[in-house]
Amino acid sequence: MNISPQHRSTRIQIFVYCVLGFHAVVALIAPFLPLMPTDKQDSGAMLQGFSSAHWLGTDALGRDVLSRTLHGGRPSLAIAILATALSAVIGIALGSLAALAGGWVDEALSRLIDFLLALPTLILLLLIASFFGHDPFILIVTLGFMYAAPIARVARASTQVLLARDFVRVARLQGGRGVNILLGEVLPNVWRVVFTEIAMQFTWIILAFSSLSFLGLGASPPTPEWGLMIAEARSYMTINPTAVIAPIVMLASLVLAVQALVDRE
Amino acid sequence: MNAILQFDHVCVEARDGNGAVTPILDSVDITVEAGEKFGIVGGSGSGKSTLLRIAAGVLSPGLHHTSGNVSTAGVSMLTVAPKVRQQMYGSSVALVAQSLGEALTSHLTVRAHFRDTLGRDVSDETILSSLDDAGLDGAKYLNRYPHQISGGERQRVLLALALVRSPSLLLLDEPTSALDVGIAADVLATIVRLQESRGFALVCVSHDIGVIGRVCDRVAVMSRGRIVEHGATSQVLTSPSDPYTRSLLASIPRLNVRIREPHASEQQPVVVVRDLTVIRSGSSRALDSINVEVGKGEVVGVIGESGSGKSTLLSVICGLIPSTSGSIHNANGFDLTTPLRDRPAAVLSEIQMVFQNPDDSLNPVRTVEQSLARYTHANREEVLAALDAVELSEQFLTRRPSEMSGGEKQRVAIARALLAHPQLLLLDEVTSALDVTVQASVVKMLASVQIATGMSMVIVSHDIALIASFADRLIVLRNGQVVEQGSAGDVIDSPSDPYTQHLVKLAKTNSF
Repeated sequence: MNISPQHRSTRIQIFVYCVLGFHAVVALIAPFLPLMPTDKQDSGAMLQGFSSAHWLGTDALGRDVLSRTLHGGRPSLAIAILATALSAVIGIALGSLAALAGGWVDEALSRLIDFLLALPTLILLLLIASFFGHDPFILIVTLGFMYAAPIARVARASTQVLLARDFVRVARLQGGRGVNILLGEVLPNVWRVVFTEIAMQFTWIILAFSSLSFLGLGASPPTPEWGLMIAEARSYMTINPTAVIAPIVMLASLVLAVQALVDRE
Repeated sequence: MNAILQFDHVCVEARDGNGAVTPILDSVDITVEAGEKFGIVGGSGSGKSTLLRIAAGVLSPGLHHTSGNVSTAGVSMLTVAPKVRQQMYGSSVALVAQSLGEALTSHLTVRAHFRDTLGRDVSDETILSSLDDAGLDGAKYLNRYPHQISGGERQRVLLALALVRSPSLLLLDEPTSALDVGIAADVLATIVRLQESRGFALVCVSHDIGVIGRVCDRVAVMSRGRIVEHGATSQVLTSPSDPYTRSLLASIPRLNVRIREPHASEQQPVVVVRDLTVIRSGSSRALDSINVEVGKGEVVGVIGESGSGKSTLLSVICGLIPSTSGSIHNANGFDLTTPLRDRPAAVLSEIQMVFQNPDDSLNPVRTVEQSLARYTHANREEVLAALDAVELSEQFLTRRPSEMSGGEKQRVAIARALLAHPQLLLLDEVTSALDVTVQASVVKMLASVQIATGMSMVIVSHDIALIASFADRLIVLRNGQVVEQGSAGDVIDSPSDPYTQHLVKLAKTNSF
């Protein structure tokens, strides 16, 4: 009979899982792969194209592009995972407490969320990074706070909906109070809704960190990081384009795969 | 005679992502002649709405037509080019879908809806006469948006829209399920009048056999995708041959059949409500100087149409909505206008409430055992005893709401209320979301729980027959005021207030 769109979507899903699996595995085992050291400079082989020694060629300092590309996701992923976790905790706490408290507390917290949303993220990140340097801890905390606002907004809205539901009313009739109801009845359900938003923020945080590196304020040389690699190699793009294309492909495929995954949810 | 709608051994199945196959329609045969009034009755999940949508050529996503032929107005609906089907809509077949809220486009006026259907240059006279036919004073409605008209009026607008291009077949999906009894009766009368004056064929789907009985000449009874019985309406309703039809008919609450014997309560009341007034959103009075007492072991029924304040009354008694003035006290004189968080645990558990919508009553992430024990701190034995009281087996302990039917969820919700050992159980339309057969078994179960525990109950429903079969005393609410109260027998047999007389008369015409 008719070919249902479901079959196509399962195929896309499998592809998405493969891409994500590839990224996860590569990030985890890159140091154990038989690759050249990421910082080994070969002054005799700068800006080379494909060769059996350097599969993706070399960059301006003669470093192996393949090795650097496969290592390049590690700093972004580590920082993005930690920052996303922080923003999820802050966002859910802020949003659900605002909805639970109501009244002026809600009003005040909502304005705080609006304030965070209104901040020009990248400019503020640049400012903080130029003040505090390359400290990853500061970066994680900053990213965590700045990307918490959209999560807080979704958490607040879904908490409000949940608080009006009958099973919450029954809980109140049976002696459940404030935080007890929040933890027992609301949050397990909020989580399902907020998860998509959190995954989206994860992709924005990865892009933000790569952008910072590109601008010279994220990862510092000689760390292999995709944003930084693009920045370093773009001047020689006409001589060895793979040094730019490889990190772009990696970054784009990771971000797209995560977004496609949450689209399915 | 020529058939306007013909189903010939039609089979439809649902396939989910895991490849599981569920039959939705199982070799369905139907023939509807031109100008005939045909009804299809069945519980939820019986396939009746799917059947109706397929008659209009619509197959919902996930459903697959495996065999058989559907012919509507001589056209093979499921194989014809979509363009031809598009042209048939309105001119030869029209479908009025169930959900009133979504059937009209919220940003379009009534006039704009007609222009969408008939083209831009349609004259206001055409629209007015069409609305007039459907029983609406057209001039008042032309410029209104869907949210500015009531449910019954919306249903009439939908009817006018469906009929404006004079189709030869009108398909109606649950035309009255969202309406109050009084309004439903008026809408049904309009449908019958229109059908008789215009002579189109009508196929009406409903869970309510009373609706079908009043509108249709012939009826088919559906259960689990099969037509288990069909024939002339009068014959099927009076001498059903199929066991399912018989159980369906036996489940309908009747005004003069009691499932629990009434007894007068002389003991101290468990709750006393004096001069209770509730003002919500501005100045409208949801409740206006209500005086009610519920005796120990007494079952009080509250009836009234939507907006009469009956659900508000329950919510105020249990403390979910604050009162504006007046007093509520329990047997020991404790002030029940105290906010929930300031009440001692013993007072809290005295009054429990069960809500209308079973899908909303249980936390979707919790198992039955977790839901039952979380706030009541009941141990495994007590939980099992409560499940037993609501006639559910031990297997349900580990189920989640998504794995249960509406009736099962409602039983769990009742069990949870029972575990608090309340003196007063408030039941807000607890059966209205359930199929008739399930509804009957839940009410029977409630009656046996009441007899076993002797707890007091206040039961709110729009279904007078159901309440009359169960309650000792009746309270009739209208616009937030008590218009009549008395023993159930007296109120039903000799209602004194005109509004009560009207409600009882409607309930009588609804049963047969």
